[in-house]
Amino acid sequence: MELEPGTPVFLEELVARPPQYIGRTVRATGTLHSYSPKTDRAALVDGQSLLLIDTKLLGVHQYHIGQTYQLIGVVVASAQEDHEELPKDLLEDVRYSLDIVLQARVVREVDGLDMAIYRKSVVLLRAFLQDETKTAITNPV
Amino acid sequence: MNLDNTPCTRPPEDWGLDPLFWVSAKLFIGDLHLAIPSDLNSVYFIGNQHIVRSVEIVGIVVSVSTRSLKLTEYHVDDGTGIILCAEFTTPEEKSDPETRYSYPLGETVLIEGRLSDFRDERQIIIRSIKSIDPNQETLGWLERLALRDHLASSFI
Repeated sequence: MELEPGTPVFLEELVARPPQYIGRTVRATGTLHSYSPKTDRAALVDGQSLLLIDTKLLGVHQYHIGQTYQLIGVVVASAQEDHEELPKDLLEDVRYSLDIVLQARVVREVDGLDMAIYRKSVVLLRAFLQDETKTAITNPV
Repeated sequence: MNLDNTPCTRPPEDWGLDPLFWVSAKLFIGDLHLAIPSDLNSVYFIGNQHIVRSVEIVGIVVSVSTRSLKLTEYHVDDGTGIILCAEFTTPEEKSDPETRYSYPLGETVLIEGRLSDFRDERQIIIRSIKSIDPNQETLGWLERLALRDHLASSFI
């Protein structure tokens, strides 16, 4: 099976540099702000950042507004109709990107996840893996 | 994910001197794929001449297959890699498929089992699997980061 692992990312990173993530499999965490079963689109919010989610591949799933979810999927370029799905009540208060949508294939509820520790762990994990990559490049076997 | 994996230079009868030989090593899935197989079945070298047979991983179930009556196949993603985990059905589950339980997509699980290669694919033969809290997955990452320092030093 040719699945790629979902690299943990933060929503602010996705909306800050969207073209960098297109085609990549990521794991995004945030609070569900809105969901439209008609168009299979959801809006995920984390702090001051918002990401549009394509939930078509997730099948039948009960979503609860305000709960924290973690989704794994591929970042794809958004279509014109996706722009209509952005929640109008939030647009002035959050940063978002019109260029990307997360095509989710796995979802899990993570209510109770300590986001502060989770963020620190992701940063530690990245720093460690980056250091190892640099070591491999500078000290090739 | 470079651990500079090195095969152990000591003879197999000395491998039991490495504590990792006897425990389920807590490793990232990315590291499991890079472990070097030894000549012995289901024994791998990782880090600085460490020997592992049994491993423990934490991650999210991203694929479930129950097509076979004999086993349930999960693909688990921990953010560093994805690995196939195979759970053999018990005789009771074979005789009564209604009692067979499989973890759903998106479930966070802790899996302990034997590392092996089958048809050129690295996999874990599940010994135990259980659902865990998302915070335990975060704790799992931190434990594995802390334990990687140990892998860089040799047990010899």
